[in-house]
Amino acid sequence: MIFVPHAITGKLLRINLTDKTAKEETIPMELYKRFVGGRGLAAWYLWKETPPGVDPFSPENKMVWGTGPLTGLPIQTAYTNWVGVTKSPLTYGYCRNRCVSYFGVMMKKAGYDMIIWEGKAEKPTYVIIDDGHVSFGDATKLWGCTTDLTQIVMQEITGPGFEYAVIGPAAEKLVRYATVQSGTRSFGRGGHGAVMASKNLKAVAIRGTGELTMANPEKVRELSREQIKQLAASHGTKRMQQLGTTNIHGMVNKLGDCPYKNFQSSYNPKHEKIDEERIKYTVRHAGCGHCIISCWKYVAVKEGPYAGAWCEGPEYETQWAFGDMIDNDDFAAIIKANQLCDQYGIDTISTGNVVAFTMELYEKGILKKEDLDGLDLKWGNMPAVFELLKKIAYREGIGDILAEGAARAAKKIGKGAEKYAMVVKNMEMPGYEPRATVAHGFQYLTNTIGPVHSIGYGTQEVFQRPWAVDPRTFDGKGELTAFNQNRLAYMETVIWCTFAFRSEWHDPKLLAQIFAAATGWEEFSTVDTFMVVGERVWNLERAFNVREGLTRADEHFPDRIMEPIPDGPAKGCHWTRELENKLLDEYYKARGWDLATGWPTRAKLEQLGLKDVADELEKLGKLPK
Amino acid sequence: MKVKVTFLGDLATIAKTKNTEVELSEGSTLKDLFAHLISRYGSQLKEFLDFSSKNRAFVMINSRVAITDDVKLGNEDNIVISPPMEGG
Repeated sequence: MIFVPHAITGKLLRINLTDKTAKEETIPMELYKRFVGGRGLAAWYLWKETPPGVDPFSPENKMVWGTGPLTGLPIQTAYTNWVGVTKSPLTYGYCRNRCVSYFGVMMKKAGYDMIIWEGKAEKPTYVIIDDGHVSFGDATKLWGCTTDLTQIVMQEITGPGFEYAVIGPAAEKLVRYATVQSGTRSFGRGGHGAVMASKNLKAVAIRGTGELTMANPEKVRELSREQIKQLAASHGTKRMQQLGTTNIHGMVNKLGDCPYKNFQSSYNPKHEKIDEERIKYTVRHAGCGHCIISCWKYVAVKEGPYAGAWCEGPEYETQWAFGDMIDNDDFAAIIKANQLCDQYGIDTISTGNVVAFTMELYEKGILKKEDLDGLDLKWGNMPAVFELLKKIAYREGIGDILAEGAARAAKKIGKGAEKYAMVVKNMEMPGYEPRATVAHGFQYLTNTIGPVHSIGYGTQEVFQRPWAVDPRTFDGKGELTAFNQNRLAYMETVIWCTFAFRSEWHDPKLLAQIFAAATGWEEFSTVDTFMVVGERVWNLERAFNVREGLTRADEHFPDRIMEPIPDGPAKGCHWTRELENKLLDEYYKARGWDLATGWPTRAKLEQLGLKDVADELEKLGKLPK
Repeated sequence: MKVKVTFLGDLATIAKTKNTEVELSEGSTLKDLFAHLISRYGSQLKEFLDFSSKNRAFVMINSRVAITDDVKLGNEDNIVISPPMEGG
């Protein structure tokens, strides 16, 4: 008898771009039980299959794209989620992205829980995956096209019914924070798009028509009714329906948690103007499949200097990056910047941070107009910003330096520019002030993918949920951060939507029961089981980074975070190097890691069922004595 | 004593004002203020101003987050009350 699993497909598709081959492989059930799926399984394959020290742009680096066991099933907040992992050309460490386009649904219905991309095509290539059939096409004429045009042309090539993942010109120029674009959604942070470009892979089209089954569909339906009831009763759902993720902008400012002018302050005195303008640009509320939250917003500019601009978004982070961070209070200009970043295929967070960095260098006289190809990059000068975005995307003039990211650009520029690079581990910090929300900020130091807001979100501080914690205190924040990282790691193995999950609009116990009913994996009907998976995944990702050279010395904030915030609601708040060290000690201790190096210990790895990982690290001399 | 209250988002819609001032007796707590606001602006505010509710508001007193509602208020305190949020 052939075993047919429920919810999952049990298979991966391995595509080698060097020799244009594709083959199916079985994913051992033992791996599902260790890592569940999504981010967990993808991280495992990346760890196993990439050599230590691999150049992110070499054919030996791999991209692993994965779905979760619930992807493609009619379950609230889980249907469209998928992830991708690779080695980052920005941090030179682990890179994980998550996306909510329908590409993941198609992957699953085509019969695959994962796709592993390896090698490098000899020339620009597109790949079409049509259920079990894989074909390769010449993308030479698409090379150089923006992401929107690339998707339109791919639709012409494939006909209807496909979903797409493509790159734009920025990735082709190996901008270190280039994205993969899928519909109006992206793999945002860490330069996944540049890795895809390094493989000469311009576009992927996928169609799946298969059926997915559930172990106990009646029970899933019954539990889902309760889940919908809980989601509908949450006022957070209503806020997201009204304003999307930007609904937090006013409160984040009132908390003094909104980095302003390259982290010079944490409060934008003009934030209310942006908030009041925002709603008038929305033309359509939308969202992921099988989700009542509907947090997507299609926005359009219909008059004024930016008439014609549109995008899906902007999310809070983009609003911050091209608003508060660069002192622009024109929401229409934020929409235009969002659209350009999507078309070029660059991460709005890193890009906005890099623009702010450049503006501050201009303000301080470190960069002059002649260094900036004649651009007058004073704060809030959006026409100049739009020119700069193009220069970054195409690596023209000053853009060639900035395409390296703020940290590398600062080294090239010299003259004290390093002081103004708001980065951790070479990645640009996102839109929350670590001096105002301590645990939420501390994750920037210790996250496995660099300073990304979403992977260890301190909801207890920023939203006072699922329980309330004072954001300004330091005690216990190392331990709290480890907890948040673990729970969001397990969330991304399933894969649940982050917003409803992390504030517990729906009960995590209920979600575990839904998962067990869908998959038939009864041992996963408790949150405790999942928390162990989350910790296991986090340790695996940490091991990947240790293998790539990470040590405790890499985990520190820029000097500016040690300075008191000069004004606003969080005036006077700051870190010290002593506090940084104290929290690192507390965090490593909570994780059972070595305090001197920040490396996972054999005892911890074996406790989590990762003996093979410990053995590998020991061979490399990267296991604490 | 007198405290200043700022409502954000839907709470401003319910209260039909963004800003107000409230007279309280000395020694009043945040909970006392909430009771006053509910009596002034209606029971729609109740689930937001109940710290045991899933929809409890996000409240700040003089730019510091209020973790509990038994904290004593002082004259001229600035209270910001936001509906529950998620996003980012």
